[in-house]
Amino acid sequence: MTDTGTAPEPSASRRRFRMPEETGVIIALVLMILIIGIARPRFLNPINLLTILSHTTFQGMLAVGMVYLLAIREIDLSVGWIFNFSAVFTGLLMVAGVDPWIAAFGGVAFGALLGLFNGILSVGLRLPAIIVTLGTYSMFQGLSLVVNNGRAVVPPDQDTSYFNAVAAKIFGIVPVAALVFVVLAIVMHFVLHRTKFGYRVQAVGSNPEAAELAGISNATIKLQTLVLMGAICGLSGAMYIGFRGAIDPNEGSDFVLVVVAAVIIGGTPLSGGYGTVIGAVVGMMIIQVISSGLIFFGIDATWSTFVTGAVIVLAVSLDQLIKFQRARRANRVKLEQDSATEP
Amino acid sequence: MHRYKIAMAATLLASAAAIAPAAAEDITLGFVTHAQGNPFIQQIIDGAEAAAKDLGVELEVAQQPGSQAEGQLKLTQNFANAGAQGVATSIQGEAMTRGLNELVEAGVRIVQFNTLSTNINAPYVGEKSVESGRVLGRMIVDKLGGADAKGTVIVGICFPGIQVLENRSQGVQESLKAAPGLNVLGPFDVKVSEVENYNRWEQLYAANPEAVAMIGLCAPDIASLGKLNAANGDKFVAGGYDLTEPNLKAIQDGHAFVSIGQSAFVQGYLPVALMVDAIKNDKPLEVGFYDAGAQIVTADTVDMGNGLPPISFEEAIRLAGDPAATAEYYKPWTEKVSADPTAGMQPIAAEAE
Repeated sequence: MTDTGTAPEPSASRRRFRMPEETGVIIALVLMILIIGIARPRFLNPINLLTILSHTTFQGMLAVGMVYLLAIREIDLSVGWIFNFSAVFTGLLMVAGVDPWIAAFGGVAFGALLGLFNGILSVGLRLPAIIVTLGTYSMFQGLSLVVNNGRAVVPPDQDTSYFNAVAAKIFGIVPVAALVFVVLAIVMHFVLHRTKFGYRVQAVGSNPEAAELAGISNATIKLQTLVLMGAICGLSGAMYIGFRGAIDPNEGSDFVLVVVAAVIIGGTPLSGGYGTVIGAVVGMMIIQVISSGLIFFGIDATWSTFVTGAVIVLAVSLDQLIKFQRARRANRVKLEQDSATEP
Repeated sequence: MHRYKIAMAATLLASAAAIAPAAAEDITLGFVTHAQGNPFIQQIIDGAEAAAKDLGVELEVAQQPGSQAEGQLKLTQNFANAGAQGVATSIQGEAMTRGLNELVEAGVRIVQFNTLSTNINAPYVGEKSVESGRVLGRMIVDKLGGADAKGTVIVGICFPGIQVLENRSQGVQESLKAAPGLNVLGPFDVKVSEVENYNRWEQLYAANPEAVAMIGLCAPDIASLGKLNAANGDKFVAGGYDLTEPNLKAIQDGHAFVSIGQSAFVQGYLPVALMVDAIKNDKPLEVGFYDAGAQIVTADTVDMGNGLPPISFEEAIRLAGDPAATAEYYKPWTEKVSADPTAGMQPIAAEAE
């Protein structure tokens, strides 16, 4: 006979309070902001912090989508060029006289179409997305350069409601584009953790065979996730052209490394099965805070690359340390419970 | 009442300090480049640092690898948020326009160098890009035998779409038309990273082994073309841009013919001098073009431009890798510029004349 009611009280309270997975990276981010802010108080100026948030926006959106892909053990290397090509497509529609709002929706749909292309190739050829997108990376880049003639696409009339809305700042300081990013991140967080689709994404990444046996089609989930990634790239691209007023031929080419780095810093493992959208957002913010902090500290340009890498390693180490401590504590609680429930 | 007077005096003093022109030691400037680990860009930075030292201001440098407009804009905004009164940046795309114009409106002194956008409300320090292309093209045509020259000429560009590079290409092709027998191919995308750049030129030569000349428009091209020429028995005429050590070495060894310098030192020095002048005198920077001056270097002649004294080829090689010697060599020019940095301003359209 087992008496569960005799379990020690502290263990029960520990079980009730579970620290979020993102605690480590959030602490790392807050520590960085505090350290820079104490040394350089100007860094804590709300305008600077909001500038950092707006710097996070466009790559951050891509990171949010990449969380889903990493959660199913996939990586899309073509995200930067889907972003670019969608922005170019949106811009060219605007140049052709299409209403900017319709052009922007067209850009999102176009991004989804490119994602669908990746998905069909990956599922149809039974190849990992990383291999397929290695090829489509260059295809999208090449096609984008062909249609923009290697030149920036600059929509002619930028005094329209679309440009004014995307580039607007609420109360003169909060960028609308950054707010859209935050809303997108919240929605994607709930989709991943509170919807059937999100559970299926995590199930496929956790154990594809078991998921298949449970009636979840791995191929369908992969296709849907790649289309979702494409649509998010399209959204980011369409908003970028509204925010900056132009898209340059080379923009987005270096996005993929930053995006994957942010997702991994945020705590999403390469092994799949789990993803954290909030972590990815925090990860992208860490990257931007480091970049800004280097400027505030006046660190020599030749040292900045090393320092960036070193700080990322420190942030990830802190996160791992916290996770390790948490796992150890959980084990201890489990042992206490086991010993308490033994006859 | 007495306390009130003290408060008033303090307020007035603070206001006066706020509107008084900044002293040199209070001035902090940012300098943003579009490449990292690039010898030509390093020469520009050396020029900027020499100016900061001469003028007694603090200069912080940030480098955005890979010529990314968005990344460069972020660095520029970070400098402004960190309190820099002025930022000089090269321009890698039109996406920087809106953000930089916002900074100009907010009172930050912005200067463009090396590459520009005419939509940005800030002065530009650089070369006359179309004209420098014309000079390069003319020299290649002369080397090939003048108007009677025949054969295939290949043109390579490391960043299609960058206005200054497109202008150079236009100038080169205009001059090559003087020899109707020349068949001009390109411009082809030859990339900026040294490894990719060499590979692209190698592939172009493999596809066109009959080429009589190969012309690059960016800093890594001459070094790549020199290596390629050396490996193939020096069969074509190689020409391009910038006075980096590897480029000058290729010319010295006889594997390349000509390099057009765009006065890297001036492109770094003058933007800093312009910003300091505007901040000290509390005036905005006017939109305009400052010609950095062209340099023409072959194995036989070294013209350093800007009315600077003639030097030997060996001296040119030494200057390319020695910032202190370069600063010393430019002394007559820097003294003239320090008196009035804005003296050489031309309309912005003059850049593409």
